[in-house]
Amino acid sequence: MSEQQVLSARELSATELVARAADADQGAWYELVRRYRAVVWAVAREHRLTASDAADVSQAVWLNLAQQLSRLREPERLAGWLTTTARRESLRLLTVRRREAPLDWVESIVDGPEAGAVTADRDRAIWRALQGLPERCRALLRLIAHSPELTYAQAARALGMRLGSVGPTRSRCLAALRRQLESDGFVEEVAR
Amino acid sequence: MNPTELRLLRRLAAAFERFDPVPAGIEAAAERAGVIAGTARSWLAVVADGSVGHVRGEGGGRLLGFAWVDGRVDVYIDSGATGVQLSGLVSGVVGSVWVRWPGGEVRADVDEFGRFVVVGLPAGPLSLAVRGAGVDSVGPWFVA
Repeated sequence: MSEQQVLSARELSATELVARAADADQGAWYELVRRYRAVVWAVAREHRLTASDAADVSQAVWLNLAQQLSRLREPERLAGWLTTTARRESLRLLTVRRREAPLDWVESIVDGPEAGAVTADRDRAIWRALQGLPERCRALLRLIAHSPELTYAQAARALGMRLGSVGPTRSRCLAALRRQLESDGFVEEVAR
Repeated sequence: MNPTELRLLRRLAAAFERFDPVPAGIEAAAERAGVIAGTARSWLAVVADGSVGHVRGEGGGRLLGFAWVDGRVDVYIDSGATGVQLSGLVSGVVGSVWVRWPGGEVRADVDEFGRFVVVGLPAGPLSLAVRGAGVDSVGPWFVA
C-alpha cells in the first residue's frame, strides 16, 4: 500500500472504512486495526486478563469484526461495538478461568522506544500519576483516551459501569490526574 | 471536549502506548484477520454459552451451543496438556462440522449418534462451521 493510500485511509470515517474493508479493501482494514487496536487491548487488559488471554480476546474480537463487517448495523458506532464485544468475551473467559490476573502492567515502568527525553519524562510522570488513581479511574481514562468518540453509554457498557456514573467519574478522575501532575511539577502538561 | 482536556487525553494515550503497548503480534494477527472479511454468507446463532468448573483444581471448560434452521450443535471446550479438546453433539440435518482456528480448520469425525471429539487444537480463538446438506454457515469466534 502506498503512502498516499495510507494517508487517504486515515481521512476516512469509520463508516467508510467498514464499507471498504467489507469490499476487500486491505488498506481500509489496516486502518481500522490501527485506529482501534489500542481500545480493544485496553478493554481486555482492564478486565484483568493475563497478557496471553488478553491477546486471545483481542484476536477473537478482530476475527469477529472481519466476519461480520457486512452486517454491522451501525458502523458509525464501531468503537462501541468493539468495546462491547471485547468486554463480553473477556467476561466469558474470566468465568471459565475463575481467576483474575494481577494488574502487573500498572506497576511496571519500562523504557519504551525513546521518542525523546522530554516525551519519555512526560509519559513517566503521567504513568506515575495514574498509579495514584483508583482502578476504575484508570480504566475509564484509558478507554476514553484511546477512543474519545465513545459515548457515555458505550463506555458504561464496556466497563460495566452505571450510565449515570460515567460523566461524574470521568470529571473526577481527570481532575485528580491534573492535581497529581501539578503536584509532581508537570504543570505545563496540564496547562498547555 | 475542551482542547486542554483533549491534549491531556492524547498524552494519556501515549503513556499507555509506551508502558502497556498492544503487542506487535496482536496487531499482526488483527491485520491477518482481514482476509476473512466478507467471506461469510450465513451465521450460526449462539443459543447457549456457559462454563463448567472442574471438580478439582482451577479453571474449567466452556459450553457453547449453536443453531441453524434445521439443526444444532453443542460443544464442550476444555484445555489440557495436549492442547484444546472439543467434544460435541450434533442434532438435526447436518452435512459436516468443522472446527476453525486462525491458521486452519479440521473436519470433525461425527459418529452415528452425532457425537464427536476433536483433540490437539491450538490455544486461542476457535470457531465452528457447518457445511453441506444445504447449509454453509459459520459461528462467531470465541476463546476456549
